[in-house]
Amino acid sequence: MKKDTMIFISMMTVGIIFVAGIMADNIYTTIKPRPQMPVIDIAQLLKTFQKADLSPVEARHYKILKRY
Amino acid sequence: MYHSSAKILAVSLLLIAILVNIAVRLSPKDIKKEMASLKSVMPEASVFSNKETNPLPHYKAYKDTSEILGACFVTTDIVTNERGYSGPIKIMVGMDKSGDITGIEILSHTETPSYTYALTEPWFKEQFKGKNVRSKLRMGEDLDGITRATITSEAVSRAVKKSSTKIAQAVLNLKIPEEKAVAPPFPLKDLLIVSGFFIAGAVGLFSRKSIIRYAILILAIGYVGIMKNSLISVVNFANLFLLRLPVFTFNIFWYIFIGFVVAGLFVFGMFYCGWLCPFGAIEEFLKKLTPFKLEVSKIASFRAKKAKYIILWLAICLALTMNNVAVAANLEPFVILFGRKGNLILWSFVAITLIFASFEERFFCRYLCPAGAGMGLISLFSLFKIRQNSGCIQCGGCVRVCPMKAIDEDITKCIRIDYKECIVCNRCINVCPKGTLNYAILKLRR
Repeated sequence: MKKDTMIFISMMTVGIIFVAGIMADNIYTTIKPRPQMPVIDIAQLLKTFQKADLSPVEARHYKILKRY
Repeated sequence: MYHSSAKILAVSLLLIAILVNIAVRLSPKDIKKEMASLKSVMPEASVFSNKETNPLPHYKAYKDTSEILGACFVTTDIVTNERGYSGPIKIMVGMDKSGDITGIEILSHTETPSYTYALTEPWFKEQFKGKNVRSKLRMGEDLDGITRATITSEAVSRAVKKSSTKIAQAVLNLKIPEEKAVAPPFPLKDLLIVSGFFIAGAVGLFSRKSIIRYAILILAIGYVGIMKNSLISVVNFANLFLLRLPVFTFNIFWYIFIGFVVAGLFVFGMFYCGWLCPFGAIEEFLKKLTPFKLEVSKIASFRAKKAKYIILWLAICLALTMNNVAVAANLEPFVILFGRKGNLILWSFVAITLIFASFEERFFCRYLCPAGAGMGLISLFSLFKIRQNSGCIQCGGCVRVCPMKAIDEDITKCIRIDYKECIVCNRCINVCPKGTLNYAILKLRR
């Protein structure tokens, strides 16, 4: 089998593993809700650099994020 | 014979999933979860009554057996037509005798988890505590919404406000002035912008000017992707099968956009994928910027394309069986990329698909996109298609330039186009040296 086709099959395998894993996690979380992995929220991260724009709730979040 | 058996099995399992969904909807509701949440929304109460139905469904809360503290109620029992993005959001609310909310608890929802994980976070629920039923209880005014989950946040605040008002009046005998729900203004600007996209796309499609297509794709990354985050996802297909659509009054832009996309599918084919999808655009531009190239065998590519149909079918069957679209969430990297939220694994998935797209053009679109698979099946019925006239010299130019590898050479001295893969990018029409390809309604003479 050509090298390029082998690389392509590897790419497909990785992609399918990701999709299958995400789907399995979705099913498990639906059946048995549990704490999610920490979410990386880009919008929230950007706001922490603009302290003046934070609402009272976001300011509380910023204090918590600063601790980490 | 194998293909017919596989199709029959797929259709049978889909029908079974539909029957299971009907059975789940008709089954008696689980009251245990409701009763377990009573103490959390009204911690001061020591005793709760059984669920009373007169005049409205509610539980009475007592400090001891004689002193009544207030009432607890489920929003979906009081306001039955309120819905979030994907369906009803069931909320237990506690309210004391003076009309102050003592707490809320989200019992169940079917919103997309990556957008609405904050529904269960303490800060979201805490902001309702202490607010009186007479206050606005409106996101953006006296409540903070969840970023990128405006529809869900506003659905929660509307449900709490409306149900609290009804319970305060009917059960707690409080005088609450009637307040009409403020419907958002008609998004005329968005309607004009979306119409502009489709008109420009139609002009680009028939004039075959690549520059128009690339300009639209760049603008789509900005408007459809970054500003509106309104990409078509497998969750939309799952919601369709579950007969769950957002409330029209509060989601007019969504209906406008979907309307244009569906019309585009039935008229032009996979117009959305080829001209409007921001993620497809990013993949295409990435490939142009990178020098990598893979020579993949036709058979491997052909077989790999089946994966996206299987993913679509699985997502819909699981959503029907579990009566919850959350199982179909985050299966597409653009949901995470333009939603700007996800855990480490989901962001890795985004990175991997973009890296793979640098090697194989539109890798995700071709092989793994369930939304594209669904739209491809619908586009088989489109009015316009790329048709071939006689005169093909089988130079292979169209086969090489097709970003979706939708074209194959045929032994009858012509080509065969797989219309459920074709994204009507016009590359094949522009590259044909004999001009045998055309975008038309009627089948041209061979």
